[in-house]
Amino acid sequence: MVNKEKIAHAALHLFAEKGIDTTTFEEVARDTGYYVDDIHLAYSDFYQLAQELLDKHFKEIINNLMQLLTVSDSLDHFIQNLVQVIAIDFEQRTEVYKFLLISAHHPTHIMPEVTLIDFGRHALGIYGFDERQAAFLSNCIMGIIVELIRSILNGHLQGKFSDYTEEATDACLALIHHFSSLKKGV
Amino acid sequence: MTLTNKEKIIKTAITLFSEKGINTTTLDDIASTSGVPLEELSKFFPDKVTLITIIGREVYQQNLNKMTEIMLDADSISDGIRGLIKFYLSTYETSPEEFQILLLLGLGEHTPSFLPEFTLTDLCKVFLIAYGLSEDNAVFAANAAIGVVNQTCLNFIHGRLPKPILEYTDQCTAACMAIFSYFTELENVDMNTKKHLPKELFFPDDPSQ
Repeated sequence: MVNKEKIAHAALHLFAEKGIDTTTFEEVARDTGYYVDDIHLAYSDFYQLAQELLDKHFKEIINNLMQLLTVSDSLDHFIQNLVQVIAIDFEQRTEVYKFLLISAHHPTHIMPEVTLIDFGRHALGIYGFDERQAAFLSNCIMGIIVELIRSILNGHLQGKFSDYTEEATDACLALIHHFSSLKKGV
Repeated sequence: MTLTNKEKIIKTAITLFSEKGINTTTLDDIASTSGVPLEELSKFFPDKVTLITIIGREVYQQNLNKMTEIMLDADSISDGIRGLIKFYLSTYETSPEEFQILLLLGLGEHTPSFLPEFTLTDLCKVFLIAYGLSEDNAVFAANAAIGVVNQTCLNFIHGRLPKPILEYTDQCTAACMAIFSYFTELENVDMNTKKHLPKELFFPDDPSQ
């Protein structure tokens, strides 16, 4: 019997490094010490595994972020916490984020059940934004954070995520304040 | 109008890249879909790296050149960014395939080495610096703004933003301007005076410009 956890662990690293489509059963066999046939028995292809990994890690990250809603005493404070928590998590588990980023661009749209944007919408809804505004604002905030991660990974931005925590927080807050002023205007 | 074999290959490659992704499209796929024999295809493009570099970058570069013109003609930062966003989003209407390539290459979908040397973010950065923002803040502000635009495109493609894509032009512009305003206010930079932007700014290494 193979240990599915062990396969998932090896596959995640390969997915993050070289993409889901180009990872082969042979490579996972090499990294786990299992036979190719045994891995085939556990997973007929890697999309199912990628989907499982995606759901698992998003759930973890979002559960983590959910707690911020209870400990933050204002929307500004929540955004500060959000950026900080993602910065720390990204630096500790860079591989996981690389994998999530690769999945987000995957043309067959392996989609997690709940995305960061869904979480952002939910959070902004709690702070009084209507459905439509929350959807777009969440899209923008996650855009800022994800692009920061992407640019650090591809070398477009020098340094670490935590070097940019303040700028990223301020940029997100600038967006929120812009949209809240519209909200009050209505 | 009959296409030459090379044109057929390029057209097919662009379609397949956007349908299946750059990673999964093989030279074999392109040969069989375009009807051009693999041996002939290999004469033009010996391997996939060459193919992506030539085709992908050409698509990217053409679109980027048009966006650069828009930036050069802009009367203010908001005018420039609105023009850029409108153009970017409208490529979806004119050619969804090119739009996807623009997005995928810009996101560095394949590997970082396929990122064009000069990206949309760089264009935006140079533009902000020309208006007087410091390099440090311009780098981050451009990154954040293009993040907003890219994320909007990605969500649109994934079906999570339901309206026709061009209807997000105003919202994206407002979001980018909120980010820019924050940084320009920090530095007391006037965003509204028209600046004369020299062409060399955007094409520093290109002798033809």
